[in-house]
Formats: sequence, C-alpha cells, structure tokens
Amino acid sequence: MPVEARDLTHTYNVDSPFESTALDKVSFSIADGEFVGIIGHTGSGKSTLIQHLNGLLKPTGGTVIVDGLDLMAKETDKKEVRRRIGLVFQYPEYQLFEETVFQDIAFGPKNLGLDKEEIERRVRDACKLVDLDCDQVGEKSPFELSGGQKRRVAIAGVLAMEPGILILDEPTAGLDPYGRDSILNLVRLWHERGKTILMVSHSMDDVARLADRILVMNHGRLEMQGTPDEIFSQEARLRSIGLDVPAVTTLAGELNRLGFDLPPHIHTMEDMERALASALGGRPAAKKTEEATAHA
Amino acid sequence: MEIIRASDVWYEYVNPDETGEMAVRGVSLSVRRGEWLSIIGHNGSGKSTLVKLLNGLYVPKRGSVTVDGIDTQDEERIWEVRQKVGMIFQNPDNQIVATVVEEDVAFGLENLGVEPAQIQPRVQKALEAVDMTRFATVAPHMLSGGQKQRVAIAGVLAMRPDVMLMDEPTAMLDPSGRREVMDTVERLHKEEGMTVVLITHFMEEALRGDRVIVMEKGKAVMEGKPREVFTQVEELKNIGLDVPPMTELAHRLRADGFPIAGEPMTVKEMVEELCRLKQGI
Ligand SMILES: Nc1ncnc2c1ncn2[C@@H]1O[C@H](COP(=O)(O)OP(=O)(O)OP(=O)(O)O)[C@@H](O)[C@H]1O
Ligand SMILES: Nc1ncnc2c1ncn2[C@@H]1O[C@H](COP(=O)(O)OP(=O)(O)OP(=O)(O)O)[C@@H](O)[C@H]1O
Ligand SMILES: [Mg+2]
Ligand SMILES: [Mg+2]
Repeated sequence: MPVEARDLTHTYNVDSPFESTALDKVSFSIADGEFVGIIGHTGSGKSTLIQHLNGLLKPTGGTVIVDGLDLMAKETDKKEVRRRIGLVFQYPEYQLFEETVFQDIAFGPKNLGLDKEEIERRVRDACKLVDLDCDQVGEKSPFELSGGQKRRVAIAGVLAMEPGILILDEPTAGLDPYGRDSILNLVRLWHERGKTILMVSHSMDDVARLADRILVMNHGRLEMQGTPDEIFSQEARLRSIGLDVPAVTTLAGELNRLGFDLPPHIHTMEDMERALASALGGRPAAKKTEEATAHA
Repeated sequence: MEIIRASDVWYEYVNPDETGEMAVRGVSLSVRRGEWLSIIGHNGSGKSTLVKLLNGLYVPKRGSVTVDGIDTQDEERIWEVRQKVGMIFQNPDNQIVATVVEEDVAFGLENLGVEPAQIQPRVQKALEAVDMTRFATVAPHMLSGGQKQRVAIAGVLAMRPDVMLMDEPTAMLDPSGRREVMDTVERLHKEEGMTVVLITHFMEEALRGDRVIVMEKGKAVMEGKPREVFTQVEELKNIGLDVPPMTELAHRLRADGFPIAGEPMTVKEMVEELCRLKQGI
C-alpha cells in the first residue's frame, strides 16, 4: 500500500506557552512494497510523524494519504485505515495490559470480530514469527517477562492483525543481538511478501542493511531522503545532525585516506568483506590459511 | 580493593518462570573499587535482577551481597547501601521528576536530608561533571534524550555514590547521544575513579570497560577482560550474542584466509592492522 504525506505539520500544545512544532511541512511518498528507514536525532519528530500515518495524531496542517484514502477527508473511515496499518509503538511493552500473553496478542484480532479458531491460528502464527513459544509463555502474565520478551509479545499483537503496512518505531531498542536479529529478520520476511515497511531506528547499521530508501529527520523537518548509498555518503552532514554512518563506512573512509582504493558505498559487513578481499587479494587462499594458522 | 561482593546469590520472583528456574542462580562476583565492569547477556538472562541485588533493591533468596562490607539484608543500613550505589535506568524520562534541571539534580539530595547550604554546590559540581552546567535552569522536556540521560547521571553523581549501576543507559539514544553518555561515563571512570557497572546490549560499549561478565539463564557463564571475552566469537554466537563490529570483520577476514594478527577491535586498530597487511609486513 502506498503512503503519501503532503506538507504534514504538527504543533503540540497550540496557543499555550508550551507550543512547539514537532513536524514542519514534511512531504514524501512511499511506493507500495517499499522498505523505508526513518532516522533522526532524539526529538527530531520521528514518532510524531509515524503516529500521523495511521490517523492516531491529527495534523495541524497538511494531510496524509494512505492507499488512496485521505486521512483528513471527512468521509474516510478511520477504522478501516487503522485496520490496514499496523503500528508498533516505541517501547510497546508499556502498553501490555491483559492478564495473559495469549490474551494480549489476541486482543486485536478479537476486536476485528474474528472467530475463535482464526484468532487462535493468528496468535500462534504471530508467536512463531517473533520467536516466542506460545505454549510455554502463553498463559503467563506479560508483567512477569523480561523487557525483551515483552517487546516480542507487543509486536506479535500487531502482526496478528495482519496489516498491509507495517510501521515500527525503534523495534529493536533494548533487545539482545539474537532478539534484534530475529525481529529484523521477521520484518525482512514480511517485506519480501510485498508488504510496505516503515522502520524508525537509531541503528545506522540496521537501516543501511535493510532499507530501500531512508528519510532523515532533523528538528521536525525532512532534512534528506534517498537510498542508503546517497545518505551514508554524507558522513559530515549526518554527524552534524546527531547521526552517524555504520562503523564499516567509517573504516572505509579511513582506509581510503591512507591509500586503499576501496569502492564507494560500503555500508554493510558483507560490502566491507568483499571490498577488502579484492583490495588485499592476490595471494592464494591455501597459503593464506597456512599463514593464519601459523600466526595462531 | 573490593566494593561489592556477591557470594553464591540466588533470586526468585514471587511468580517464577514456568520452567521453575530462578532468575539469578548462584552468581558470585566481586567488583573492585574504581573498576568498570560490563554485563552482557540475553534478554531475560537475569542482568537487571542481578544489578538490583547489587544495590539492595532486592535481597537474595540464598547467598549474600555486601556493599563496602555492609550486608544488603541489614535493613537498618540499607540507606547507606543505596547512598553508596547509585542506579541509572534505561529510560531517562522515568527518572526525571522536577521541572527545572537543577531542581531535578537536587531532588535526591533533599531526599537524603543533605543540609540546604551544601545542596547547591553539589548540584553545580555534578552538572559540571556531565558538562550540563549551561542547561541548569532549563526545563528537562526541552532536552535531547542524551542530555536527559546526562541529567539523570548528574542526579546520581550529586549523591556521591561509590558505584554507578547503569541498566542499558543508552538504549533510547541517537548515535551522538549514545557517544555523549559513554564519553561521560568513561571520563568519570578515568578521571574521578568512579566504579561503574554497566549493562548493555551494545558490544562496543562493553569494549570500553575493564572486565565483562556474560550472563546466561541466571548464571555468569563467561568472565574476563573485554579482549579475552570478545575473541571467543564462536562461543558468543552460540549463545546468541554478538561481538563488536571490528571483531566480526576480523573474524570474517580470517575465515577468508587473511592472516589478521592480534585482535583489532576498534576502527583505529583495524586500520593499523589492514595497513600492515597491505604492505605485506
Ligand atoms: N505529547 C507531546 N506534547 C508536547 N510535545 C511533544 C509531545 N510529544 C513529543 N513532543 C515534542 O515533539 C518533538 C518530537 O518528538 P518525537 O517524540 O516525535 O521525537 P522522536 O524523533 O521520535 O525522538 P526519539 O528518538 O527520542 O524517540 C520533541 O521536541 C518532543 O519533545
Ligand atoms: N517482576 C518479575 N516477576 C516475575 N518474573 C520476573 C520479573 N522480572 C523479571 N522476571 C523474570 O526473571 C528473569 C530475568 O529477568 P531480568 O529482567 O533480570 O533479565 P534481563 O537480563 O535484564 O533481560 P533484558 O535484557 O530483557 O532486560 C526472566 O526470566 C524474567 O521473565
Ligand atoms: Mg520516538
Ligand atoms: Mg534488563
């Protein structure tokens, strides 16, 4: 499903001494099936932005069009929009409230009016996607789980709605590497099925690895947008707005200053491994292995 | 010299895991004064439970914890323990209570019953230590996440603890906020001799400390200098953990047949090693 924002503006606490503009005329469009990363310093407006995309926040200016539905138009059925868009909040674990994990994940599907078997199927399916053992933790209270386990429950609750567009607000913050990879993996799989994904993240590595395109927020404005190659080749500019480039990109820059002739746009571990293999290559692999062993 | 000692500590929540396993199972550790100890491990491996045992927020089911010689089960002296061991949580918003930065930093001191005349200088000093003096009179909601976390650190510092326990203090921050907080911790550790216990999921943060403990299912399963622990790439991967990015790269290059020597773990070390390799030395 495509998404479009036109001059989207949001001012919190209008006409009060605390008035502050969190989004300032933000415009972009996202094509059906795209994977878009959203990065920006803390407080740059990322969460405010995505809460407009499912109509949770109302813009103070501009509009959002989702799958042809104008969210500001009176005739648009807001419920229908929410059904199509799954939003995983930042720290969604704070919003768990049911008595058991199973009930929490089932909450959305139940509200959709699905029958019991379908609800059960979806809950089990969602558990599997987020790598939770439904039989083991299903009857536990969500409050007895660790931080990372709670996150998985919260994400499962959104997936169980089977939305067409999945929006995630820093879904891996606080997760261990295994949990992080399993969440990112499920997001990737979801995307491979042709679903549109928007993912807010503070991890430049994750965004570089997964996104087709990146939106960069800075003080409520859309500062840059482009492919990972276009964005991460601007290291100085990113740093000046509180961001960074992946560690391997920094390494590539340093090496090239010292006369390595690495190709541009190295943003992932795999890119770097390949580039170095060809830059250092030339020696037969067998000999290299011998040397490596000799060294150890 | 030792500041915290945990001896064969066990902890069980009221509603334990279905597996019947306790959250912390027989951990023994000692934290030296002035040391920076990092704790890594899975979600649910018991890290947060362990540090809550270290400042007496929880008392062990079995075994004992002492802080500067005081047993945390000694209810009469628990305030002494809390004063010696400050705690910083993941989310700075949950820790900031006042509407002005300096009041927030003063809050803990007022609670401790510190003499009013002493409060202001201690607040000033704490704000200086985290480089936030110029924000003293600002409202906390105007600050960035990294700045808020530094205010939270100042609040703990003002209480002059011997140890700072930090439970994923950078999880919510953008790259510069993260660097800001870690640089602050490193400076306090190096220049003021602050003892630091840091829980983190960022392996490059654990790399900055003196020692790493790996928690797994309530137990401490690996322990050593960051270099000793992170070079065990396969073992860490087997329990679902990661290594710092440069360690990962070194590991891959070695598997590709390149004779990477030593254990480059930072970008700087990696640059040096690759230059050496390129020149064929
Ligand atoms: N409910 C609110 N009332 C008033 N101001 C708000 C509210 N929510 C957010 N803001 C302000 O709007 C701005 C944007 O906040 P937002 O939460 O969208 O940022 P973010 O990019 O998601 O940050 P982070 O990376 O820390 O999550 C900030 O200055 C914030 O203080
Ligand atoms: N309040 C609680 N009641 C019951 N069980 C709990 C409670 N808090 C944690 N647990 C359980 O204790 C174990 C250890 O949890 P703990 O929060 O210490 O893990 P952690 O290593 O800090 O995880 P994370 O990286 O997710 O923060 C987990 O199995 C968890 O389910
Ligand atoms: Mg946010
Ligand atoms: Mg924890």
